[in-house]
Amino acid sequence: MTAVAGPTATAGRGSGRRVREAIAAYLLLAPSFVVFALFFFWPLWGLIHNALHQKNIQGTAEKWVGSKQLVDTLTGEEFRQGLGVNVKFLVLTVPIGVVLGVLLAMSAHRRLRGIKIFQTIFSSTVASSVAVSAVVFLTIVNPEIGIFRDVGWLSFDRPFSALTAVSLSSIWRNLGLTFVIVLAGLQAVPDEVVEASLLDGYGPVRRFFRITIPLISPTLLFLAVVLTVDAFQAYAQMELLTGGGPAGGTETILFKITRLLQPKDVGEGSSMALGLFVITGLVAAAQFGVLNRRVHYGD
Amino acid sequence: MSSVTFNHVTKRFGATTAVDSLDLEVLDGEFMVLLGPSGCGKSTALRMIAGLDEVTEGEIRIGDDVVNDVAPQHRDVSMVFQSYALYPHMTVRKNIESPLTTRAAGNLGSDERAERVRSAAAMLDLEPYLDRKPGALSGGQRQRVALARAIVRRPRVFLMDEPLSNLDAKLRTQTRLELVEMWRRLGTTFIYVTHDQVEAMTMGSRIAVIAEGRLQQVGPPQEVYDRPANTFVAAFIGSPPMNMLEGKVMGPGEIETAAGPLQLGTPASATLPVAVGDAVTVGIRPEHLHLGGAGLGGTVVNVEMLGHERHVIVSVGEAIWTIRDAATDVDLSPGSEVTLGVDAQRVHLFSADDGRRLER
Repeated sequence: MTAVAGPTATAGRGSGRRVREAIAAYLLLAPSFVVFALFFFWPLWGLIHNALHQKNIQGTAEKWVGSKQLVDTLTGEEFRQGLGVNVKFLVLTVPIGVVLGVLLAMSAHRRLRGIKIFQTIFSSTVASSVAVSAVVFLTIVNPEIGIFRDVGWLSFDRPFSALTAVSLSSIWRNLGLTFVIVLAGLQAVPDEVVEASLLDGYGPVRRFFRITIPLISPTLLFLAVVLTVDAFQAYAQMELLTGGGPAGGTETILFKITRLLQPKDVGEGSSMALGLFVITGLVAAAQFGVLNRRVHYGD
Repeated sequence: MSSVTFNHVTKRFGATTAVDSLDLEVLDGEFMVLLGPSGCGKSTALRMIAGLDEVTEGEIRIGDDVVNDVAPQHRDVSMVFQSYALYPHMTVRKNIESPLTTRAAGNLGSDERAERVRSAAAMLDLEPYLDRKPGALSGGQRQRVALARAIVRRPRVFLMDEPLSNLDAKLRTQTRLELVEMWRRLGTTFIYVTHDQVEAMTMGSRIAVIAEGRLQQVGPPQEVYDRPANTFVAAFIGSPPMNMLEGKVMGPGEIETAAGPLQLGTPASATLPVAVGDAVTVGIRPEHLHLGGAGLGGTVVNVEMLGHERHVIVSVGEAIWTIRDAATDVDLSPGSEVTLGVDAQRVHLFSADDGRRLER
């Protein structure tokens, strides 16, 4: 009897402990779950709800419109235009931003006396907000006093040059982050591997492309995804630098959404937000899918 | 194949002197082991041969060429690193081929490259793994890939920086043998850095013992073991280490120690450059002591059984000595008093002032 009861009792105690551990685990997860529910799932639900309903002018009543509003908005001229601006902005900022970050980090990744000062300067934009960097940039291109006041391709008077100017400000603002992340990636490359390549006869250019780039490729992929998501969410720099102009040439999707806050427009704005959310997710997933095959993640 | 010569070579990092006026000639085709505790400058010496660290003073020659200002890739040396330093994103094949693909290797054709990779891989039993990446290999296999990458370019000199220290004990013993076989087959100069005196004794044609950036002694393993140049070498080489005790010369062949008088026999001591009253350090290897016999006395602290022999740890004066004892069946308990017999012809004497060997 005791021989049989022994293991059963142990198993009983074991499952009791598992239940207690599970309760403790959920309790510990609860705070972050509450934050997620409050600031992500609930708004997302609201977004879906609003995209499927049409409110009246006062916002006092709403009626179910189904997917019609969503389809109309996402196939409409406004959304296409905004998406076009986003894509142009992305193409102008992400590749150049990554390349500049790599170049800057390579130049500062040396054992030189005082190099920390340069590393601090290069990473300083991490600590400044979009608003601050936009204002600083504004003084640089200011038509009256800016040092770039006569530079045509940065002029706010034409849609494409205005977008170029905004892109430049964003590249500059993100450069600190890009620099810090690439530098960390470079510092994680083992010295002995670099030395082995030196003895193998790799010159600087070959070493950079055959050894350094592959070894920091996970960092570069991460950066490309982060900067892409950032480009899809661009808003503040347009608001502060160009106000979306000229002729809507710098109106990103997010910018357009902020103009759709009247009760009757909330349905359309929510539809755009939902579209942006899905597109951003798809693009990031595609980047992971395509680039991942060329990325090496250590061993 | 080539000799390597250090001529008054000094390396300073800021205020720290890593290598201090090193004079050493590594002969053509020799297996030279640079041995010393960590931080003694042996790796720095090796890295200076490779060109990874610059020489502060003096000159390094490979063959007849002074290489101080020659870029690493033009020195025609290969190096195996402690971490192996394989390229993690390349297959084993690409890793081994890597030194052949650069201009420094002299633009080999792809057939020639493939053939060299094949023969290097065959020598190290790596053929089944050629299309894997290093991450999918065991530590021992990675180590062999690093060796293959080193031999594939057929350099004048092989440099190895503690290549076995990341392997487990069994694999280390096996790889030691493989390395020596490889050296015999290739006939190339090997310069091998280690802190492990067993590796040094078992592999080197000669050992250079280095401490605090300075060369202590160079010679064949047996000579360094039998006639250590100073107390550092005496204590560093040999396991268990040499037993040491302070003493004073009382008369011809007689030394007084805290554990009793030690008789060295007249013929030997007559030639010693010591005078009565001089302070000396006595050194006796554990195998040159036996339990029983007259002379020194001590108290047993512990007995370590090894199966084929035992190590009797004895407190002698203020020192702790080890005696290698073949009689594993005689009972000895901690705390018991023992007398120690000494093989008088095998006693080493060192100056108590500077630790230098007093020739016998």
